[in-house]
Amino acid sequence: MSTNNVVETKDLAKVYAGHLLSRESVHALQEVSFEVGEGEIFALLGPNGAGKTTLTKILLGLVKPTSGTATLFGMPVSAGMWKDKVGYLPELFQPQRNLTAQGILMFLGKLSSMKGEELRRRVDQVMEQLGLTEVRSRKVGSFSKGMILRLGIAQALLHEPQLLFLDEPTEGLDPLGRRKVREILIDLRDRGVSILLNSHLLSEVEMVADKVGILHKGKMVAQGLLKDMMPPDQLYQVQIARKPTLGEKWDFREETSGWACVVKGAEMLDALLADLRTNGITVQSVSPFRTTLEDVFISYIGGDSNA
Amino acid sequence: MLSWPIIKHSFGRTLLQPGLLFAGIVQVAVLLFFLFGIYFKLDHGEIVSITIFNHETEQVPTYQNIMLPSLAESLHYGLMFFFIVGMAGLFTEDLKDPFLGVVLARAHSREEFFLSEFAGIVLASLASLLLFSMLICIILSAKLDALLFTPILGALSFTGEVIILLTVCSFFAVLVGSSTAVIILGVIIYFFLGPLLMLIEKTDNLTLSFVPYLIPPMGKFYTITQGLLLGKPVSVTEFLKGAIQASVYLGIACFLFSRRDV
Repeated sequence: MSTNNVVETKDLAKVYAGHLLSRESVHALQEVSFEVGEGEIFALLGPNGAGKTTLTKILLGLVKPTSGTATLFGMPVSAGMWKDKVGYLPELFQPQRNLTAQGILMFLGKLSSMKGEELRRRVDQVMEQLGLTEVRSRKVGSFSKGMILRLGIAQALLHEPQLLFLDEPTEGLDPLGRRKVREILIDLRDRGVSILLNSHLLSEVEMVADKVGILHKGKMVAQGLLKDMMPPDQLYQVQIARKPTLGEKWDFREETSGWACVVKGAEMLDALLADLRTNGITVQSVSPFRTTLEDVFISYIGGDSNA
Repeated sequence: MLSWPIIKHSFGRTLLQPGLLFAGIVQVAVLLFFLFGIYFKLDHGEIVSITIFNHETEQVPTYQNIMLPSLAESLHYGLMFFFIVGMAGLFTEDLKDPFLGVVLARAHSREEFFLSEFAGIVLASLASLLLFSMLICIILSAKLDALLFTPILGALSFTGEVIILLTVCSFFAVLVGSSTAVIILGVIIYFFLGPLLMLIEKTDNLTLSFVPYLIPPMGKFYTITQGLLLGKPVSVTEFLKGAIQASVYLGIACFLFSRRDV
């Protein structure tokens, strides 16, 4: 990983002014600052309405920020000099239904200044990569949701961008399709492509992201390397058969096969086991309990989600 | 300044709009009528009798003074209605299309996208009308034994009307963002405001007299097209005024579009 920042924002804010029916203005983004380095996968997490799509659109020049600065490859977004270096998959990729998959890729490739043999070669390559070769001449209107998404990813990769904006790239794909997309993302990162990923599928994000940023109500409430955001202490789950009589000290919760308590670190585990032994309670099982990105995410947004 | 892939894309999409397809059906029906439904008997280049669906009549002045103008008028209004329905809403559909973001993230500038999209729509209308008018010219020239160019001139004038009206529609599209509202506005401007503006122009009221400078005089353009179709002498200088108004509308629409959040 290099320290060259491909995406950089500073105090980015976006306020949607009120209109006749609703005078109240909406603060979609508030002082958002973050960076994505070369060859990094930065996952942007947040509940619905947190401002993820607005942030992505500002970085693509589709929405104008109210204040703050945003640069891509060191140039202001408004300069638009980055267009041939950037690939974008929107959340709702819905191309014209009467065009074929190949027709759409050819059209978008030409918009990215590709032509002739180079364009045809890349269209063939991305279709092969995303498993669309057999349906290349079929109209998009007959495509399933998963096939449209794969076409969306194909168009984003078509012009071999150095920076990818992917909004929910695996939602609607079957497990094999998800794995394929994960492999593609990891391969791209290894080749130095930077990726800004918006996804609700936190387990998927956890498998590929280097950095994570959590947006909540327009503010970046946490960001950093994924490994740094996970709690350092190992968690353990202790399971017993009957309701314990240990008072408030241990937080046992009822589960389908008994009662369970999660403790942090080896010392706490020792203390709990000692307590249980003293009280003559038989331990059914002790297992390492892994903190997931979902746990981290919920700890930051405090369960206040519309997702 | 213009992007050929976007023009081509917009051209193809416009031709597949239901409004344009209906206009195509009307055009084919008119072509079939001129091809198989009407025959002329000539004497030294003059029409002496006309046979319409096997009914021969020698009422040539009635054909020339009533039937032909009525046909041209209904065709003009009918085609314009379908053109407005087919094309006016395209700009607003574009603005709401989730695919727009993908295109704009690649297109070199918003202005390039907007003007190319507009050019594609205009080219689609021009192609549809020129093909139709050329076929009419060929059929009538063959039947009348004389070269006839008035349908082509009429088609060019009609395209001018379409372009001017579309600039106004594109402006409203960026402003209001509803295709139904833009179609209704287009219909009102063409079918109702055109004649009204011609009346307002004659008024002495100072405030009202400025209104014709704001909205292109579609009624006048209609009269010019009809005149060209029927071979009457007309002055096309009004189109110059309209072209200036259209440029202003298109310029403002393009400016607003380039500053709009997508």
